[in-house]
Amino acid sequence: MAKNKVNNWQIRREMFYPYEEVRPQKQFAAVFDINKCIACQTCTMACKQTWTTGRGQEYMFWNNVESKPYGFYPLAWDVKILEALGAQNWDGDRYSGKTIFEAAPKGQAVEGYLPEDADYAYPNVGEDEPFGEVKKGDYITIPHRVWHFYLPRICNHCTYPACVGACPRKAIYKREEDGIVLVDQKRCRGYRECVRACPYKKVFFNKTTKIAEKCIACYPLIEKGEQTQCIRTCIGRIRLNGWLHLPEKADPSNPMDYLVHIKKVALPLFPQFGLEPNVYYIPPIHVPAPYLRQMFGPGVEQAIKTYKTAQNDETLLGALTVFGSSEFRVSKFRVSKGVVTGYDDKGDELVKVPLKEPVFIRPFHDEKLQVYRHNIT
Amino acid sequence: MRNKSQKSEVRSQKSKELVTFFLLLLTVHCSLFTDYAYSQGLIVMANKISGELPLDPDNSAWNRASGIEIPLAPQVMAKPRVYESGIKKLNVRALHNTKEAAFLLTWEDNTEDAAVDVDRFSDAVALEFPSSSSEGKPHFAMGDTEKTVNIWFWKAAWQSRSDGDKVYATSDDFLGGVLAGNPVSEERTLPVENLVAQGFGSATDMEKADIQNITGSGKWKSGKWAVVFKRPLTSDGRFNVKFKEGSVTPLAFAVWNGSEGDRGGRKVVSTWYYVGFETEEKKTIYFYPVLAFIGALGIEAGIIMGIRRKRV
Repeated sequence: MAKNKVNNWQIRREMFYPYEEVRPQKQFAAVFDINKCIACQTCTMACKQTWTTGRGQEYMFWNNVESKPYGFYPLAWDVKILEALGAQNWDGDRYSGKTIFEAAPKGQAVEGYLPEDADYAYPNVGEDEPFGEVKKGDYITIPHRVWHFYLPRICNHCTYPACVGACPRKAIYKREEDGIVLVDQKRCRGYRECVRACPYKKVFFNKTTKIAEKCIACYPLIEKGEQTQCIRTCIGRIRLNGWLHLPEKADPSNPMDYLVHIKKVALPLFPQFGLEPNVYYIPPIHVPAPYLRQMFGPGVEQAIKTYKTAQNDETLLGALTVFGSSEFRVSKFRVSKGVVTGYDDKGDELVKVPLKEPVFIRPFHDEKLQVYRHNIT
Repeated sequence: MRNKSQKSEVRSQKSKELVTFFLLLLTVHCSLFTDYAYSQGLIVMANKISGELPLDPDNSAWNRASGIEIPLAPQVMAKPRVYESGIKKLNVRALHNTKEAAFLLTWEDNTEDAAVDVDRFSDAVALEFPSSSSEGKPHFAMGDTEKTVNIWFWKAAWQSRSDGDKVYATSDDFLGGVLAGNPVSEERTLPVENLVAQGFGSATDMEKADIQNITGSGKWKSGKWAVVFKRPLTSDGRFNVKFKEGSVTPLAFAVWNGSEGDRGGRKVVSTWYYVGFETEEKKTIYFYPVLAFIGALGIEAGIIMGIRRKRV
């Protein structure tokens, strides 16, 4: 396997990858707004009901929501790979440390580790555990003295997937039409090189079928112009999926491009790993910057600053308001007169949402229906 | 990796030198050569017996087979590579009865790794032969794009297959690998698999495309594996190897140690050796095929040593 130099815009430099840089015609991407996630696990259950109810998938969650900093699925996945990778320094917005491809041990394609079976046994370990001590007599202040947040995770359908780079059988492939990364269920022989390689631990070993399985980005829905199960069922409306372009080709009317490239409020998870992951997170505004910088890179403070201006920025508010507004993919959006309109791939109108929900005040007694109302919002 | 023209020029120059050297050596030692090859452990003789060939590694019929020892080295040609292994060698014995051939492979391994889990791997062993359609010898490491190899693969996990967790099962309708017809996922009736390969990462199961005519059986006892492979001498299908009484066929070996994380390319391997199928005629009938093979063996040894030196 030759080593090639490829361009990774998230770390603002070239890096080594086992294959050449080949970008798909379109790239599946998603933005998750962490500030709105309440860890209700509706996404987790929607995914599980749809894809992983089979034997061998009992502890397999293609979508999971974990508490941070003390929640993990599988156990300690992030701290283990962060420790293995060593110091990760940024020179401004350029990553000067090593990616997991560059840090690969002798004879291996990537730096990685293989979890134990028991690491998957407690999918919601550390739930709601805050960082910091709650002392006697403490009361809530802003900012909070203790903090935690929820991190919803699916496969990142990376531009440079470590699973693809590590598979000696080329049994994992990235689709040319939408950049979705899939494990060929016929070709896989269950070597688990991908499970070892994926730093996000989003490729799983199925003990019953003896091969690897992973999130398929609900491609049957994506092909029909719809959003994935985890995204369309999100009751907090924290998620949106669509197509993401390269920064230099960003289209301001595309909500993905607008949030990721233009406003830069949505950031990749652990960009320093070098995979160019395609799920982007709006970082939580109440969490200390050093922790967030390690997780989302150097753009995190600016992202939070910009996000806080959304109430006065109609376009940004509009982009955030189309989240969860339709089961179909919102490929374009436009804000006009306090209303955001979402359009599909063809440019046909999908949905109209007011930026501010209108308030209706109804009388306690409805004359027409002859009923009393109370506690109505 | 093997296509760099400059390197191959140097290599072919070296090859010529080696061939010349071997021809010289063999001319001088012509009459003694067959004995020489045996004494160096390059040929395993499949001794001819009458009656049924044993499938059980403990069967006393194996005492009638003369074995040779095969040194094994970690696989360093393709990623992922291994550099250390507790498995250093195996012993091979072979028998035939004019209809069938059987091989007994034994090696030392302190742990019996037959259970498979996220981070637990199975012990395994494989025999490799050139496919009957391959003219000349394929590359010893999984064959090459021109010449395929036939691989007989035995896995401890298939020998004592557990049924996995049925406790929480609600349905068997969602077994992706089974629905896709992946032979690794389907219930196995035999602990062996018949494969074809044309280079690293290309091993392909032939059970669906071809007749699965290999049988096998393995046992672990007191820190030692003993595995038997058995098959008719001839077999249909261009990817299968064909054997003939009184002839010599190249064969190579690979062993996986589950407790050391071996799977796929993480294994210990040998280069080509030879199996001769005993006949009543003189031993020297094996001479000419072996003469041809042996030159190539020397070249391969040179290449491997070169690769080992180069690897960073």
